[in-house]
Amino acid sequence: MTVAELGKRIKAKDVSPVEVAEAFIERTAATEPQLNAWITQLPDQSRAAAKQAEAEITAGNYKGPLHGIPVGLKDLFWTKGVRTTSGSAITKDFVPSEDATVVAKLQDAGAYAFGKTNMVEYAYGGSEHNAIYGAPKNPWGLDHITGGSSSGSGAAVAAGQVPIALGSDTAGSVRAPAALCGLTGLKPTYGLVSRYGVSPLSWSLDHVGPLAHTAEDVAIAMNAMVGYDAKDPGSANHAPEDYLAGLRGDLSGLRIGVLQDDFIWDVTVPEVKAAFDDAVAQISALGAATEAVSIGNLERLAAAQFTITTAEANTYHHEMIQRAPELYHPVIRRRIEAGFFMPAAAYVQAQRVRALFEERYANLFETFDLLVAPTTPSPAPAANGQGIRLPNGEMPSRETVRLTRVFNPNGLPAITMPTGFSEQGLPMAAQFVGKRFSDALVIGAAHAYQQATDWHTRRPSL
Amino acid sequence: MPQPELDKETFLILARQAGFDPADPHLDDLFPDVQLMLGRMDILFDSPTDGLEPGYRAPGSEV
Repeated sequence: MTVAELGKRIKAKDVSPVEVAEAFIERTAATEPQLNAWITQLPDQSRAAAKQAEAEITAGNYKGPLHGIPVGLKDLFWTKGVRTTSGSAITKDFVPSEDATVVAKLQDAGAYAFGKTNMVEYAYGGSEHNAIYGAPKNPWGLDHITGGSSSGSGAAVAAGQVPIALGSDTAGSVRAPAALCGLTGLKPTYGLVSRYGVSPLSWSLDHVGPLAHTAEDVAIAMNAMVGYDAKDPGSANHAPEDYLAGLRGDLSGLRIGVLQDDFIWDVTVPEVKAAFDDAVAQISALGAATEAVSIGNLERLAAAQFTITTAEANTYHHEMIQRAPELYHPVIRRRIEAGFFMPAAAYVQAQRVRALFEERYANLFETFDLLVAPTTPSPAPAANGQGIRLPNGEMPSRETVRLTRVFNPNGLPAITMPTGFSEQGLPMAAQFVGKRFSDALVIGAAHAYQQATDWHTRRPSL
Repeated sequence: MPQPELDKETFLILARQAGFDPADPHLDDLFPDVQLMLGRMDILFDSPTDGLEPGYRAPGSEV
């Protein structure tokens, strides 16, 4: 059941928040042994929070569609009094003394923390590297990866353990797991959602966003999550919007650029391309004027994103990795340590390339309202350590974020939505991308697509 | 212009400066990752960035 459906039933008192909590606790208990989606479960706190929500609603203090809704939190969001590991052995006992701003905002809207979801260690990667908590399994195929780094958030929502979860996205860590798990996931405009109390990977690339079943649920969450926060140096002082009001039934009047870059299509498998072509046909049928377009030289922007992440992650981990390198997963350790050898000129040049694409995107958005591209080049790769299978070879599994990472350096909003299923029954997805602060349009377009398709309504059989 | 390729000897010198023990066998695992990282950055220096200053617009700016 979606957040919107649950919210309506709670408001109408067809179901109580306590009944909702018990149902998700039961579902989690039944499926978690197969999935490993959580680092910390909070059943007692969830019951207490649900009981409080029920009392508030009974007393006539209904707060809105998130009141009494459980939320999964990637385990890098600070939660007061609850350990926040960032998926690491080093911070396994870190207990924050306050909530992340976005967690507090969701609680103000009546939602509560259902638990802390599993993740790639320190959010550093698109596949399943975690030394101590293990990798979550994909509910659509237990021998396939979920994508990362918000891997547990993807698995938990897809499996119905929780109706919505938060993730963070530096290269695609919301969108890739959402895509590979059949969900809708948003990377909002940079600065729109506070990062205060969110353990960083790369300060200038990190975005906080929701993973849910529908664009409507994303809109509900964003209405609570957005807001200027003086405690976040990257926070944008943008006028509040009603993202639910931005939901639309069609795409008429919109100009949508269908990306043709070789950077995308040279590595995208035929099944994903076929599903994407069908999605574009549906987008046209919904009234949009679609036109083929290329951004150009995306490999440069991908290199800039990689370089900036390497430098900023090395800086953040500088002291910890010298003090206790053996406590990191070997792959994550080497990624961070490689940053010690990066020439300063590479970081500066990456920032110049970032500026180059500011101009390029600005020009594109003079012509187009939105861009559309596949979210990942393939369905979820197998979890056997092999890479992504292509018709002409194989690509490392870190490339699951190849098509998402090019929208992070310039802070553009991007939403992924399911567009079909592979022969193996694994989800495939496309992403809408807009100019900065067009989040309402991006979410609204995904909602329109979901009014005409049913991919987002399908659930794995667990 | 591509950056010069990093050889093992130079890598070990840089590693010592970065605080690693050059005799640590872990450096044998790290060296290929560093080479890969530097290789992935080459394309940055082949980009048409003349006249561009580093950086991006401040949060809050509209594109």
